[in-house]
Amino acid sequence: MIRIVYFEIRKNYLRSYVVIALLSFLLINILIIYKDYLYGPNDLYGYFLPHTAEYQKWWQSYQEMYDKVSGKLTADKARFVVSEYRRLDAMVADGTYSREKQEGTYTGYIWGDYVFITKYFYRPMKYVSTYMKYVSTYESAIKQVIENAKDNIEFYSQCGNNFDKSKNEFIVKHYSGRKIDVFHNGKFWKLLFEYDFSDLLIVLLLLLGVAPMFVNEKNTNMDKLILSSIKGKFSMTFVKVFSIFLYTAFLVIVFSGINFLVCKFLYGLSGIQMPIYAVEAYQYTPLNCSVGMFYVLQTLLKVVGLFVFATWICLLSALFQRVVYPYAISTLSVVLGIYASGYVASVETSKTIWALMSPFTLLRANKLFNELLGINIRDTFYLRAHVALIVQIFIVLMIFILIYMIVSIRDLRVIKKLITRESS
Amino acid sequence: MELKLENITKFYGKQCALDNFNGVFTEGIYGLLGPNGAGKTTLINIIIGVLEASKGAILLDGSDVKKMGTKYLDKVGYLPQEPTFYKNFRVDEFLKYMCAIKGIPSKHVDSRIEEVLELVNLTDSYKKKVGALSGGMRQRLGIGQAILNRPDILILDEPTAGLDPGERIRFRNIISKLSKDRIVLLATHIVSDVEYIAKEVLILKKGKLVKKGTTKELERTVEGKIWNVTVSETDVEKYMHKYLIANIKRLEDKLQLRIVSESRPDGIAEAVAPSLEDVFLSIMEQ
Repeated sequence: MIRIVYFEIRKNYLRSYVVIALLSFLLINILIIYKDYLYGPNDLYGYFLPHTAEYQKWWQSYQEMYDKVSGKLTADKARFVVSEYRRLDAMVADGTYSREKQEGTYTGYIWGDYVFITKYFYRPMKYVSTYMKYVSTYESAIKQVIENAKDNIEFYSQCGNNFDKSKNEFIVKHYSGRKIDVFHNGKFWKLLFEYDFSDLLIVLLLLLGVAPMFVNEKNTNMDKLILSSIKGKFSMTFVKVFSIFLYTAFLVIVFSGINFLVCKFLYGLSGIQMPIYAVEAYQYTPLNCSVGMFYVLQTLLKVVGLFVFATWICLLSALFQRVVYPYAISTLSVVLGIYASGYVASVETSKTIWALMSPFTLLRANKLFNELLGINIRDTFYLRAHVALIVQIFIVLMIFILIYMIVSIRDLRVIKKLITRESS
Repeated sequence: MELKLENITKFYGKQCALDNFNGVFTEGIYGLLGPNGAGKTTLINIIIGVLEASKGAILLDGSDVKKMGTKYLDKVGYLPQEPTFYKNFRVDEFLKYMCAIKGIPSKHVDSRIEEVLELVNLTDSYKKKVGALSGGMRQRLGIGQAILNRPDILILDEPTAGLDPGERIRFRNIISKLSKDRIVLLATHIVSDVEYIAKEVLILKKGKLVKKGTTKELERTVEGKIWNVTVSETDVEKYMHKYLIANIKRLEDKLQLRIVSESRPDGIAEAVAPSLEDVFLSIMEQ
């Protein structure tokens, strides 16, 4: 089997144009991350200082201060952040500060420090101080959430509302005992979790690699040759789908790895063991894993979602004689799929169903997990992420069965057309 | 070894593509002649297991091939019509791939490939890309892949289409060599492909087996019906309307027409020995 899988990969993916596209896309991806690093990512505009030479000293100062306060959270660190903020705030408050160049300042000038603190550093510091406040109060805040949930369980039990009861039971079970005792810059992790340009590049590579898969077999008359071989049907169905899985997993892992390494190199990404709920945007996440594990989970979900999409392309390739149709319909599917996945957090059932049907929903782990997103199934609370995963596994199985039928049921119209074409 | 096809019928919806085909094949070359759409490809697809017959059975040495499953497929080698294979593969890669899907154990792969490359005279092109091979070389590679599993039954679908005369002769020689201990079924619409090498010729028309026999037997069916008539250029049109013309040959200032006709044609007509092409033509025109 390994030999057949290897040749299937060699046949479809180890083609010069796919390899060239992969290398080019990897380079483009790195350049996009670097561009965001230099000029600030669009979605977090105003938070990140540009990394141009002009702001080099300011980033240095930021890094020095960040180094002082990151890691295990202590009262001293919290006090340092607050006192620095108050000191600088007081110095510029009455306008009597010196305009001359001074030693011992961050930028060389008090005014420069003021700008540095308020516009380019204090705003990040404001985030830091907010963060500090957030982390220090998180434990009590989440305890309150648990208490409320317990009250709700009792209330909903009396009302006979099983869905909300099970939802609150979920909260009690999964949110209890949470506390944050480390400080690391979660904004960088958030940036990594939300970076999705590479997903688009992977989709393009899937189109390039998978769309011609069956069409090529038909156009070269290899389909009949393969099907008349001992391992032909196995090769035309299971091996093809398995090779798609390997190709998808390879692409997702390579791009996720590159994204992580480039962000690690540029932003630092410290605190890989920090709990995911320590990242402010994920404070109500139903997950209790570390940020590192969350990134792994996000990568695995992407593998599943993109694999489902890739098998869909494969099905289209099996259906049509010309490669232009799988390309066109797949591209349309991407647009519809991404649009539908936008409803992942919708409160409307119909829109939620659309989102759950879309494999691209699994590419939005940041949306699926940054808050408690559930769905009511027979009066029971289920995590929307779990349901999305099960729906996608079901879809991929259905697609596989359809591919198998197209290949195996010899009297299908497609085969008939093939025969007609050959004899004419 | 005996391959028996019993009442093979194939319907596509209501359209009958193959009607009650019967045939018994033993070692040797069998020519399957017929125009496009005659049902040759349908028959081949049924024999190689890609299509299922609506009716009938295929028996190999008395055993139903459906029950034999992959054991039957292991005995079949197939060369499809106009194969282009994978242009980005090298010759050795392609053959290794074919070994893999034919279930040939890894330890035998190299020796098998060496053996077939020598047989089809492609040893020097071992490392060439398939896309860089000429049409004839690619067809020889096709034969090579078909015999990798040392099949008892070799099915060749229009194997000489698009080949130059030299390659066609080389190809025929290879096929003759291969037919000693196996059944070779060669489907074609080019009569000369099978005329001299086929043990038996089967002629299909509109899904029906209309005639079968050795070349000589078939030729005998049109004996006395083939004529050479020498005419001037101005009369050619008139003859073409009136008779079935098998061939036109230019003489010095006249043209010699080869006519298939039950009765002696007008003019100075000379009865000549029939060829398989005459048989084929007469059947197709009926």
